[in-house]
Amino acid sequence: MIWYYVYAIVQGTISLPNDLRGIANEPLSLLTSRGMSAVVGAAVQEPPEPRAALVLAHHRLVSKISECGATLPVQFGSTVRSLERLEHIFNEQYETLYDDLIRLAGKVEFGVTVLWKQSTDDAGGQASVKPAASGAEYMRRRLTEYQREKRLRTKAEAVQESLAAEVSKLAAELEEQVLPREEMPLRASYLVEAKDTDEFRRRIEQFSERNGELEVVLVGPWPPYSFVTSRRDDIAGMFGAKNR
Amino acid sequence: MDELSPQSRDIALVELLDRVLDKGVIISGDITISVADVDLIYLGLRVLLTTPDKLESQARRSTDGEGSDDLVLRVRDRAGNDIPPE
Repeated sequence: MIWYYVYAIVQGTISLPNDLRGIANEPLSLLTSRGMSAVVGAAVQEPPEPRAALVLAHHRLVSKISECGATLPVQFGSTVRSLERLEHIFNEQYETLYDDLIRLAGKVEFGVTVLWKQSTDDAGGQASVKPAASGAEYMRRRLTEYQREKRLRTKAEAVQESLAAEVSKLAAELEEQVLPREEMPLRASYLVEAKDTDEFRRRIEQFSERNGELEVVLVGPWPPYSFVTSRRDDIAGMFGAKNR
Repeated sequence: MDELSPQSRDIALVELLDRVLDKGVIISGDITISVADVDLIYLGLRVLLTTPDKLESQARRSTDGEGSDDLVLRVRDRAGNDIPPE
């Protein structure tokens, strides 16, 4: 069976670099409909295994495509059984896809992960696993644990506010998780104008220097994976895919 | 910024894998990808503070011991049935 692997959706038509090949070294082509094109790897025999090397190859390819113009990255492993089906998706989701292309044009994504450099007094201090000797001791432990978590969250929120003060003006959109893990006060994605890339990096660097107790991991710029809206609610719903 | 620690380098890799596997336009209803019954939205957080070796062995266990020199996640169809690796 022939599968068609979809890498990205672009505005209009673009000229792909001649040497650009798919993750299985397959030739690439454009399926164009109503002012948008899907970059498709033809004749892929089966959906690819999600090996790290292939996932990274997918990312490199999408990054290359995004250098050619406004691009919506497509989730790894997205295959369709026929080009007619892809065209049907285009027609059904035209407005959402087109709006995303306009909104995300010229923008890139950065990821910022913040860790405590050393375990704070409040992080990693899980409650004793030894059974409580009495109801009063149990309640005391619960209270201690509650207070510890509250202190940790307050510290994490201070980190979030401090970082927001530094970079929020540069972010067209952002997604934040405050204290997703005890070791991690903040995990965030930022949508930034490509022209502001250097300034964004500089501000993160400043934030890192000013907060020596934190380890700040900046990754990107990437195509705006986290900021496409044409995903779960619309397209996945069309196929009755599991809502994650 | 200071030189990244090994842990930070792992985080950078996992953050990227998390985006490419779990974000972006969903264009296909043909397959969904999951790691050992954990939705991919949690992939980054679940493996974030582990080492690549552990990550790899974790991934291998999830494919019933299939040997590989690369990270292999699990591919399922919409009915939840495993699609075996080639």
